Amino acid sequence: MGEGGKGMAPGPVPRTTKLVEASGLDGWLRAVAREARVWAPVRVDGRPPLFREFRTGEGDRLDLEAVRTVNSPKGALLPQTEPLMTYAMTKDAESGRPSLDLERAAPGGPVVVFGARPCDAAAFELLDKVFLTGDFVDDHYQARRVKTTVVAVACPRPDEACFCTSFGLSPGGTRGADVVLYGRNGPGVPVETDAYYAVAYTERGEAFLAAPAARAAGVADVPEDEGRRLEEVVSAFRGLGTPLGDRLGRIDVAARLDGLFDHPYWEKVSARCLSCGACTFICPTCYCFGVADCGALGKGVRYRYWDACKLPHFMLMAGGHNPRPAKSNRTRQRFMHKLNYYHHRYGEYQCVGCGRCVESCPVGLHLPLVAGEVRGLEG
Amino acid sequence: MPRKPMLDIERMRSAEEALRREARRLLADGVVSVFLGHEEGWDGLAVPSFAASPEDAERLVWNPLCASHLAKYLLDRLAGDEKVGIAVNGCGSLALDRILKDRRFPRERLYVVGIPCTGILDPARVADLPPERRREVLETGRAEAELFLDRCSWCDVPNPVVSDILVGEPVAEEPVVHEYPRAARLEAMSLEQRFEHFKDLYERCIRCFACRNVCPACSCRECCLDQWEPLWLGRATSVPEQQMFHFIRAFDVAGRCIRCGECERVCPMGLPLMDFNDKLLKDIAELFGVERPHVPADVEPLGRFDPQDPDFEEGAE
Repeated sequence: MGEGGKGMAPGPVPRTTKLVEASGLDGWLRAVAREARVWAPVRVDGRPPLFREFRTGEGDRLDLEAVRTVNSPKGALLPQTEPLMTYAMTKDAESGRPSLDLERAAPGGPVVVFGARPCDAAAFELLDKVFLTGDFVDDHYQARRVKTTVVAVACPRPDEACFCTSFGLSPGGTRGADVVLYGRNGPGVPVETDAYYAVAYTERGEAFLAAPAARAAGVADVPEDEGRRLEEVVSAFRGLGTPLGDRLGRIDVAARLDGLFDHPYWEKVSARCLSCGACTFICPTCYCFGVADCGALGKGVRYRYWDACKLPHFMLMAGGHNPRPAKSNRTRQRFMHKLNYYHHRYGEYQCVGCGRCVESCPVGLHLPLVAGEVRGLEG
Repeated sequence: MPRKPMLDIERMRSAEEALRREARRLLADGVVSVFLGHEEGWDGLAVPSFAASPEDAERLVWNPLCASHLAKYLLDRLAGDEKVGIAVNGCGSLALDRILKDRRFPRERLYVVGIPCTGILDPARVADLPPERRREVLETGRAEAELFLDRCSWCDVPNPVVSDILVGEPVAEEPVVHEYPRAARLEAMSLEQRFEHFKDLYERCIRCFACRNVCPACSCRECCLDQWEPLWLGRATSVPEQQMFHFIRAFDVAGRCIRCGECERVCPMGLPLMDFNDKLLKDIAELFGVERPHVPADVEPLGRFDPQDPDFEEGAE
């Protein structure tokens, strides 16, 4: 695992590098949106920046300056509500015998995730491990995933909640991204940049930069005399630290957590939890879902929807038994999943250090807090 | 006439000292088995604290960032008969009184330490300040009106309405003429604009239930929104379902909302949730002639039936 931070190994080899003016991005996005569903960080009026499907006709403005959007882009791959199939009961007119017609929901066309931060792009790979590896491949997720292009934008100025480097990622990271945009002025202030180097790291990314939409938007070759500057900029982004990551250092607590399942710590730290799902729903790596039917009179839709281990009813069973009745059970589940169970199964942590839980939890109960505190626990 | 909130840091420091002393005494003497207050959390943020020993009480703080109300946490302690200590400022006591008036926690199991309050800052707004300015604000109390919690701008309950003991002298109470600018803004919109406004809210809502879970008026034993049978609220996050969710919530707390704005403060998506509540508060104020609809009362407009009601007809369904 890991790809960046200080003393990192060299990144993957670029396949193509282009240059695009910052003023050309909006047009590029709109051109892409004619052929694909585009997800992007948008701002409408003065409201908090959101990662959602870009609405070309509704005043959505691309916002690459916000350090992070309040929600993550995971909905592009794992929609909050997603039809799985439709069902209909019919009766044969002659025999009166009922039959059940099932139709699989169509996964939809190509998707472009444009302007995700490198942490969010890396999070897609963590979702991939869950949905695409092991004994069961989730075909709904897969159908969408194989048609998804991820264009990340390197982080010029990580803020006080950023800690991707604690998990071996970096503000200039390429993991999970087909293309990475690096601000031509490099990281630091000012955030605004007049142009971006667009570097493709995959075949899909290469095709994206060569597509007519890119050409029409003025995506051009990098002038020959800029080769050196390009290298410097990319390596400056890759070597950039994160304020919280620098404070925390590398988070590696899986082994430490092995013996802490029954520790009184969970009871103590969870007392202030509101039992809401904010942290899990805004998290780019949380993926738990439920499945429900919506229908009447013999026909309807079966869909899946985001659910959350933090919500009291998540584990409630038909007979009324709830295996995780207390906040301490649910809080432990969330952090053990990310910092222990996932690590045992996939060899890395289920967190990319995006900082959303730090920003959003109204009672300050978030992953870096817990990761830091379990290091010091006795027992 | 909006009130101009002003922090009195000296007053807060002495209240903090007295609060710790009182909590320590209550825990040491076994009067209470746990004391609900605030302590310093991540990066100076004040987070809810649950002191279980006199030593724990040393961690309690009372500072301009103590925005969280604590009364809702009493519902985690319904089982048993242990006595619980709780710190409340003025608006915190409204939250507590809400829980008490809704008969969701027995008064006799409480020991309430009241803190006369001069204002609380919005932690998120303070966090956005440059570090130097942040320090200055928290040390001197010199803060612009915009940094305060919205509820401070109309506060007419600086002194707790429920308490067993006060730490600090009561704050002078000034009459406040209540205005509802958020409701007025909605009323000024055309029907179409209003629909678009709320549609945007529904689309942004991720239905995490933070608003419901923090709300002192949302204290049902089982929330209808969590029920499967019947399924009042489909799990799909479509606009109609979101609309149901927010309507149910708004109308369930109508007449009992204390206007604390915690729903809006804890919303991770930054949704203007007080638009609902402000409109309903304003309607209750105007339709029922209630001057302070945010203050829990023994008899509340939507919580009683009056045969003299002009809309009531004998024999009507």
